[in-house]
Amino acid sequence: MNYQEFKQYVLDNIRNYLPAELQECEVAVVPYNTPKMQKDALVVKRPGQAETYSYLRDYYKEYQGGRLEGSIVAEIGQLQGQGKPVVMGQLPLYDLVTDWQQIQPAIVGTVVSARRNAELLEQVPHKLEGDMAIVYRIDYELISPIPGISLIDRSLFSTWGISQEKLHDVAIQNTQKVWPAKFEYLNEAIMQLANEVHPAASPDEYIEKMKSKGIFPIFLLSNQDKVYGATALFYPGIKEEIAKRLQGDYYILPGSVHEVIIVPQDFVKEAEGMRRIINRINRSMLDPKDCLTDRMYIYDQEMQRVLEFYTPEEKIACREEKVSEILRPEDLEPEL
Amino acid sequence: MQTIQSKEEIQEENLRRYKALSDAIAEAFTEEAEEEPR
Repeated sequence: MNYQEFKQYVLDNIRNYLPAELQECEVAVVPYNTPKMQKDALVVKRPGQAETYSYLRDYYKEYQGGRLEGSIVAEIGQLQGQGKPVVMGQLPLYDLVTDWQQIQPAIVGTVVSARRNAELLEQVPHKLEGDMAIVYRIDYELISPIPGISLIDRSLFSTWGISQEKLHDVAIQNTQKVWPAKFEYLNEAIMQLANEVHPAASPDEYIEKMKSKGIFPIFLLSNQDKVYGATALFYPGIKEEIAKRLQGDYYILPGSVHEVIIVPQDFVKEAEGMRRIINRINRSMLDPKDCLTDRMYIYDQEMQRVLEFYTPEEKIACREEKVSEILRPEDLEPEL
Repeated sequence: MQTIQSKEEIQEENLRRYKALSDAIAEAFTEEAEEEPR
């Protein structure tokens, strides 16, 4: 069996090994991507409970090593039934994750679209930032040799007896340490990625042409890999640092979970036009699950605040709906 | 079933997208500069 066939085999047979109470639950294979890890995981979705991830590529390696597929699917079914498949040393996962002191170095934050994840956000602690939300995950590899990431839900959070602010602060501090922010010209990011993606290739024609056009003041904020790097926008002090570097106010376009586009306000006469261009490309080229928001924000250096950019039409709509999360439209300067 | 992407695939797609963004923005800036009164 190749990997795809193996995955299908597991999906087709897993119910034979699940306990009766899980028979009606949805079973799915979902991508689990972070800057450190890209895997697909089998999950049995239990309403209101944390999901247990069974990483199929790891099992596939065992299959390639000679283990029988039936034994693998039986083990997955059994572990999913128990709901706690990972054991670190002698300490069962449940005991580890409920011990705040032990688990806190493994907690990280990632940003998701609040609109697209409304259902999920009802079940997990999070912090809203405009129409984005920071959610929290445990990255087991940060405290053990075992790879694995799980989302922190309300039931786990409640076992720690800490405030949501504390959880957020710990998660962002850890994330900043593990995936440091990188702020650079868009052109620099293109050159770095081209080297990484095609290291042995002959000089990229596009890059040669791009160099000859000169550098436009468009910046990218992400992490080193430019994978799931939009969280960098929420690192402490980062917006202030960018304002210092750009010496003034700037637009923030968090269109993708992978990065945030930053443009100095002085360089743009028609901000709405620029937002349209960037949103059009993101919508046409990004997987919908990786879209973050079509909104645009402005960092005001003097006020040290993030304001939302509104077109006049949006301003009216917003007043009518009274739904502004980050600021009130009347806080905005009238003309941009 | 959802498509599974590796980090390399995501980076490759991001590279294509960044090139498209760079082109579109460069075009818009150039048009804006040409419209400036002399």
